[in-house]
Amino acid sequence: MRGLRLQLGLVLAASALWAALPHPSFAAWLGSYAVVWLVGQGVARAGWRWTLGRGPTLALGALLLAAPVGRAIEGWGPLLERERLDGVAHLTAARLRLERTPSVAPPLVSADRPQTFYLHADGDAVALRLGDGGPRLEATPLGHGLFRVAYDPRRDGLADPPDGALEATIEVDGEAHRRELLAVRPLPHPRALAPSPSRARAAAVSEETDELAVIDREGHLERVEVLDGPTDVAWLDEARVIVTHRYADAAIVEGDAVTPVDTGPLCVHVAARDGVAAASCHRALVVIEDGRVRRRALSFQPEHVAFGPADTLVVSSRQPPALHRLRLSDLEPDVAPLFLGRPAVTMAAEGGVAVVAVTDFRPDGPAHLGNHFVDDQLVDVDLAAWRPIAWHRTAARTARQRAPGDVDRGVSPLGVDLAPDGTRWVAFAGTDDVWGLRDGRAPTMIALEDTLPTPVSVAALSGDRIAVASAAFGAIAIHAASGRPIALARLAPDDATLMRDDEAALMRRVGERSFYESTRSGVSCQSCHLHGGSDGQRHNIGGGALVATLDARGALGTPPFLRDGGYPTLGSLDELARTLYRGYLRRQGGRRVGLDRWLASQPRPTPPAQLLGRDLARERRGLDAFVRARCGLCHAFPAFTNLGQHPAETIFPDFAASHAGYELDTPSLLGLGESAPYLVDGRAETLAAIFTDHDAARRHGYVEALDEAALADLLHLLEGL
Amino acid sequence: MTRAVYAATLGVGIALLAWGAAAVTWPLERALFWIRSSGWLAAGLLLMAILVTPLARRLRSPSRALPSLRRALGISAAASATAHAALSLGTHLDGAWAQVASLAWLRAGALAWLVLAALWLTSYPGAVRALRVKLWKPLHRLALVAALLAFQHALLSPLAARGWVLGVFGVAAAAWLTRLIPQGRSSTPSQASSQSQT
Repeated sequence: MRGLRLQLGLVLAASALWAALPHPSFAAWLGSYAVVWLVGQGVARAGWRWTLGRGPTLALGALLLAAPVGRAIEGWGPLLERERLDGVAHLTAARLRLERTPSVAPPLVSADRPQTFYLHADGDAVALRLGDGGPRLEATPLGHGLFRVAYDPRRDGLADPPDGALEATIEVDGEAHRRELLAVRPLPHPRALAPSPSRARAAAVSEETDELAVIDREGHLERVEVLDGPTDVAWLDEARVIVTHRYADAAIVEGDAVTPVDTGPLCVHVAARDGVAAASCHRALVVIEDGRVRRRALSFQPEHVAFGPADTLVVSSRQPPALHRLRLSDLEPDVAPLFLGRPAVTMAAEGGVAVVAVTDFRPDGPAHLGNHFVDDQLVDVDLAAWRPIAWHRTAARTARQRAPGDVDRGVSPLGVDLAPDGTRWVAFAGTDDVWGLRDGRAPTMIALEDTLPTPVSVAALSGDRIAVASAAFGAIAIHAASGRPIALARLAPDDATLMRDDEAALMRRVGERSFYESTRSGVSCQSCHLHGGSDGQRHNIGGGALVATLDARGALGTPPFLRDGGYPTLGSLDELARTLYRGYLRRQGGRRVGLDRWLASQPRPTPPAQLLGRDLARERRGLDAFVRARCGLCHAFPAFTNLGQHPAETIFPDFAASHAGYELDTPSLLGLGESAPYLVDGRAETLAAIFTDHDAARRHGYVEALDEAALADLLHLLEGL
Repeated sequence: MTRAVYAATLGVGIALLAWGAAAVTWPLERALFWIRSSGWLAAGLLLMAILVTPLARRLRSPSRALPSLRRALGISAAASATAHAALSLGTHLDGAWAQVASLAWLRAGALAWLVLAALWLTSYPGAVRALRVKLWKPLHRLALVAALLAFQHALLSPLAARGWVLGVFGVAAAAWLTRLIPQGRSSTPSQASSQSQT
């Protein structure tokens, strides 16, 4: 008993000492204990004995306890954060979910697109059932206990339930195992508006709900069901539009008739002029003329496309962040690329001039390397002379400014339209406004925060009207050019309806708006994570290291987050916005939860290989190579990550030499093929370069075990994950 | 005799591990094999050392061999932890000393080792006398703190299987907590017979 009393006394005294120098760490407390123990040791050696009655002992104990308890309450958060215990339950649950075989990844089932799931199971015959009433999907064995399921909701049916917690069943040799997934059925998201030739109407597509929306000047809306995953629309003439699709061929739509054109899937943007359409597809440009399709493979991934002067096409790319001009006749480049510094966020061209929105403009070198540098600009490019002729910063401040340097208008220009009268209309998703800019006149600024927030596109209509689309709010508004609201056409329910009927969807909407919304510093999540993805660039984050932008999609079930695994939950990324970026102008309840829910609902892009065809035999050989090279030590099945964090020195000593103390979060390899550049700082432009040029210490896998053919098979597998 | 059993067990264990390591062809993975084996060994021995006394009490099998068993397990745990730390720093971590202080899971492991090293040092009567250690019992109770730090270390480390970490430490925690359950008083044979006569 006396021994326990002595022990308690030492603990109390150590805690009191720690409270005097309260460093939030276990090491500090243990150091205090050591000091107190040494003092006690000295006292014991001196032979002093100090005996107190029960009352004084209790009083002294309470006194000693008060300070450390207070300090502990005060420093609890920092202590948990420093010891990486703040999200330990969340992280451990995610790891256990992956380790508990049979397991499945990713844990998100989206109702709007084809998806690939990987299963890790010890068996021969494996199937995945998406809910009791949902589809049963046979898995293809890849070897080494890994199986793959290709799911297409259009072909296989929706999960049961299609939205919310989903009790999936993994069947392994006839034995059923229940696993919880998340099912999401997104609401309509009308995006880029395309005005008709007469500008009497405008059209937009909703990729999430496979529909085309056509709106007239009065706000009358027509909705037409199109093929799977419409990505963009352009008018061939006053009656016909061409719609590109991510998961299907492009199609010509006239009235309710949808006629596919043999373009192949994965086309993301389209422009049309005089009945000729040009679409940017998977590493190719496709021209459609009178139903005939011409296709030209490109060395880069084309994105925005517009018609230039004298039968040329202008195409933007993220990597390199540049514009390319190609002859329409043979789709060959007729001039060197025009480098922008950062990729085009949106682009419109008319009368020989293209207006390109970028988050930084640097025509003569790499983007500026300021810490978290984002500088939204509109760049005018003379397409004939092939040079930028003017560039304007858009971020502006108003009387709503709270502190020096705050901006609250003109952030994140995501939609541009060039009206016939010379006005350029710009939609700013970050600050909920639309501007009409015309040389020699004061800009018209239409504030939309109370009517249609997060505008992502704008189209000038005849009769001095404009159409504005908000993807997050699933609506298209018609305004007079003066700003007066005329009509609001909703494709998705309004907030009040969602509050009543679908609170989960409302929280996702809150999160989506927050993702696009500018902070007071003029930076939004969307500034670098374009539409939730990645701008494919390297940014100076914190003045310490250049970091390649991660794709923010497909993050569910892969904590912790960011390259160094510094954030335990998706919602905790909100802290960055509140602190580093000085917070938001607008108060929003549940913003953190909303961000978490929206990001969690974003699936990874469908691997192109699922749509374009796979070479199963080669993939199996690639998986053999994956196992032989011991990649699975860290990139473990089925998510191709064990969710571990490694000191940089243990894998890339060369990198660590210039980035001491850096911790690397093991990324999932799912979706790898489309996420270049690679490695934390984007130093590997290609997958092959990871092994050939950036693993001098040979610590990033046992690549020596692979011959050239096996390495090629491994790369093939990785590209298709 | 006890020492012979101990040495034999140790020898067989190391031989088995060497046999397992020989099957690993990638030198880096072989180093990881030894690191993980020594880490699990250290954790297992530490937990056993902590559990010896409560389990013996619960099983009502007090033995004079218990203190020496506990001491042997504790010393072995500290030795294994030392091997684990040395192997890690010498191979996988490649001398990344700065990371030991900056990364939470490495820091926890280092703290656990420091505690065990202090316990190891004061586990020999000669050393205790030479150092004139008076308060060795409060020091040795830090074995519990070392176990908690080892748990944090294992739970956050990148390559440990979470299921095993939770399982091993969870079972150990449950076993240790049995000491909080009051033990019923057992009746002696003579008491039982007197009760039956009345």
